[in-house]
Amino acid sequence: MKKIYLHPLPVRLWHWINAGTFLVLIITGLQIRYKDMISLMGFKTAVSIHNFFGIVLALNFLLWLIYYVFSGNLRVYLPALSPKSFLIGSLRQARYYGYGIFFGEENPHKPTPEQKFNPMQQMAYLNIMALFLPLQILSGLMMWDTNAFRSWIALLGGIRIVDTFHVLLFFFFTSFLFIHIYLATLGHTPTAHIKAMISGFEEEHSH
Amino acid sequence: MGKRFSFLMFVSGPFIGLAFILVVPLISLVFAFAVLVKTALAAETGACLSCHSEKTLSIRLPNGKTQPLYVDEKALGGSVHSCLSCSDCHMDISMESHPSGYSKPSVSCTNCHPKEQLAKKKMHFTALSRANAPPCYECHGVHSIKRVREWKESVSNRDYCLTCHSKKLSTILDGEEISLQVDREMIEGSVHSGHNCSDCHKGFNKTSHSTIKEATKRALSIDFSDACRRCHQKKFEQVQGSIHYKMLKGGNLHAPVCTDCHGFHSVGKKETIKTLSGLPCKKCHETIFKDFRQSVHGTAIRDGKPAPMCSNCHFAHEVKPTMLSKTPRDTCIACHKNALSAHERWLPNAKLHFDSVSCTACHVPDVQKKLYLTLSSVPRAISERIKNDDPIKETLLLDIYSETKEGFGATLGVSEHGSSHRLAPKLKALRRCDSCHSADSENFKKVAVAITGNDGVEQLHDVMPSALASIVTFMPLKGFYALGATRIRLFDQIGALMIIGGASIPIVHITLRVLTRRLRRRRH
Repeated sequence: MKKIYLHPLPVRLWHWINAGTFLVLIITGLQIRYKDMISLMGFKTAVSIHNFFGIVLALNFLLWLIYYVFSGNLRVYLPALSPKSFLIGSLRQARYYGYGIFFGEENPHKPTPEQKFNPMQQMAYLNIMALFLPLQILSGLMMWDTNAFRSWIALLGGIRIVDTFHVLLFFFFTSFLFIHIYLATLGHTPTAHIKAMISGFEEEHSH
Repeated sequence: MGKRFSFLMFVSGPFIGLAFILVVPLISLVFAFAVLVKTALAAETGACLSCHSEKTLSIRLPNGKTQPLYVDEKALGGSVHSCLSCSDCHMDISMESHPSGYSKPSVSCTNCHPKEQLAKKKMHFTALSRANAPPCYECHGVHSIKRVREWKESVSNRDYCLTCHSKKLSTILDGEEISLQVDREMIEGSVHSGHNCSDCHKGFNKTSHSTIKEATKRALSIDFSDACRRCHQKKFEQVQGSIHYKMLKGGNLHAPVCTDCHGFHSVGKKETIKTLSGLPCKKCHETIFKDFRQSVHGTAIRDGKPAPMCSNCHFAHEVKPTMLSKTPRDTCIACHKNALSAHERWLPNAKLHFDSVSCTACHVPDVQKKLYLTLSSVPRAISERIKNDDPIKETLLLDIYSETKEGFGATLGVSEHGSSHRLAPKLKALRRCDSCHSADSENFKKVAVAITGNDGVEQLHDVMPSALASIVTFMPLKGFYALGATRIRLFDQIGALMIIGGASIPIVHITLRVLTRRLRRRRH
C-alpha cells in the first residue's frame, strides 16, 4: 500500500477551521433566521457568535487564497482547458457514482498532488471557492456592518437583496455539506478520505 | 407843544367824559350781577359743604357697605359743573329739604344732557339701550367731572379706555355673553404693560371707537389675534407653517390662535407658559397630556428635574403635524446627543436601527407597533388606487414599485398617535432583540402605507400584514428586512427543498449501495 502526501498542512488547517466555522455558522444562522422555531440561544448571542465566526471564516478564506496563490497549486481547482476532455471526465465520474460504484468498479479518478480533484469536484469547488464563498463572505460583511458597507448595499439594491443572497447561499452550502460529507466516506474505507484530511496522506489502494 | 395838547384835550375831553360816565356803571353792573349770582350759588354749595367737606362723613347703605359723603371742595371748584349748585344734580335735596337717613340718590344727568343728544354717540347709544349698562357717573366721575375734551387730553390712552372697560361691561355675540371688562392689574403685570390699548386694538382710541363686526366670540378672538403679528412678524411666519394655522385656514375655528396659548391681557413672558401647569396644549390635547405626565419626561418634571415639555419637541409656533412614519430621532437626539454611541455599545448595526426603527418603537414598550411604508413621492393615480384598495394587497405594492421604480422606505413605530408620549424610563425600554427579530413578533402584525398630503398631514392606509412574507413584495420592500421576522415564505420553501434534496442524495445512494451489495460480491 502506497501513501501519497495529498493534503499539505496549510490545506488541512484551512479545511478543518472551515469545517468548524461552517458548522457554527449554520447553527447560529438557523437560530437567527428561525427564532420562532429554534431556541438554542438568545438572538443576540447567536448574532455575536455568527459575526465572530463569520470573520474567522473570512480570514480563513484569505489563508486558503494566499496559500494556493503562492504555492502555485491553484491549478488543482482548474478544470481541463479542453471542454471535450472536461466533459468526458465529468461524465465518466458521474457514471461511476451513478452506476459503476454499485458494481464494484474502480473510481476512475486517482488523486495525485497535481490532479487532486476529479472533474466534478473541480467544477464544484471552483464555483464554491471562487464564487459562492466570496459572495457569502461579502454579503455577510455587508450585513455585519450595514453602515460601513451602505454604498455597497445600495448598489445591490437594498438590505433585503443582500440578505436573500446570503440565505440562498446558506441553503446551498448546507445541502452541499450533506453530499460533501457523504462523498468523503466513499474512499476505499469509509474513513480513508477523512483520515487523509487529518494526516495529509492518502493511502493508495490497489486491488 | 403845550398849545397843541391843550387843544386836543379841549376837543376830546367831553367825549371821554361821556364815555366814562356811561361805561363805568355798565361794567360795575355786570360785576355786581356776577358777584350777586356767585354769592347766591356759593350760598347753597357753601351750606352743603359746611357738612360735606368733613372727610369722615359717611352713611351706611342697605347692603351694609359704607358710602362716604365727603365732597372735595377743590375738585368741585375745578369741575365743569362748578357753576351748578348741588341741588341742580341732587334734585331731591335743597336748603329746605334734606333726607335724614339713607335715600336712593336721584341724580339725573339727562335733565341737562337729554337722551336724544347722548344717543347720537354710538357707545352712549349702546349703553342707553342696555338695562344693565353702568350709570353715567361710573365712567364720567361725580364732583370732579371735567369737560370731556379737557379730560381726554389729561388722561393716558390706557386710562381713557379703562375709564369704561374697568367696569363690568359686556356684550352678547351669538347668544354668548362676552365680558368687555379689563383688569388693570392684569395688564400692568403683563409683558405688554408698556403698551397702549390702541397698540393692539386698532380702531379703538380716544377719538374713535369701532363696533364689533364679528358674529361669534371665537371669530372675535381669531381677529384680535391678528394684532400680534404687527410686532411679532417672525413668530407669525413660523405659525404660518404650522398645523394649527393650516387647520384654521381650512375652516377649523377651534384651531388655536396666539391668545389661546399666550392669553391676551395677561400675556406673560414665554418662560411662564409652563406646559405642566396644564396650559396651553392640554386645553385641546388632554389625553396626550395625561400620557405625557406618566412618561419618563413628565415624571422628571414633577420631580423638579429638567426635562422637555410639549414645545421642546413639537416647537411652539411651527407645530408640525405628527407623522407616525417618521422617527422622531432628530428631535430626541437634540437632547440625547450620545444616543447613537450609547446604542452602538450593545446594539449591532445601531445606525441601521436608528434609520428604520422609531425611537418610540422601543422606548414606548407595551403598546402596539406598526410598520409604516413610505414613498418619496406618490403620483396622484397611485394615491387614488391606494385609497381604493382597503386593505392594500401585495400586488398593489408591486404595481406601485413597477410604476415608480422606487422601493418603499419602512419605519417601525408606534401604532397610535397618542402612545408615543408614553416614553418609559430607559430600563423599561425594549432590549430583547427577538421582540422584533422573530416571525411571531407582534410588531409586524400591522402594516400601513403612509402618504403625506400637500397639507403636510399624513394619511395611513392599512396593508395586509401577510404581504410582508410574500415574494411579490420582494422588490417593493428591497430596502427593508428585519432578520428573521419579515422573511419571505417562498425562500423558506426553496431552502427546505434544497436541504431535503441535499440530505436525500446520500440516503438514496446508500440505499442503492445496500441493495446492490450482492452484485459487487458476485463480481469479486
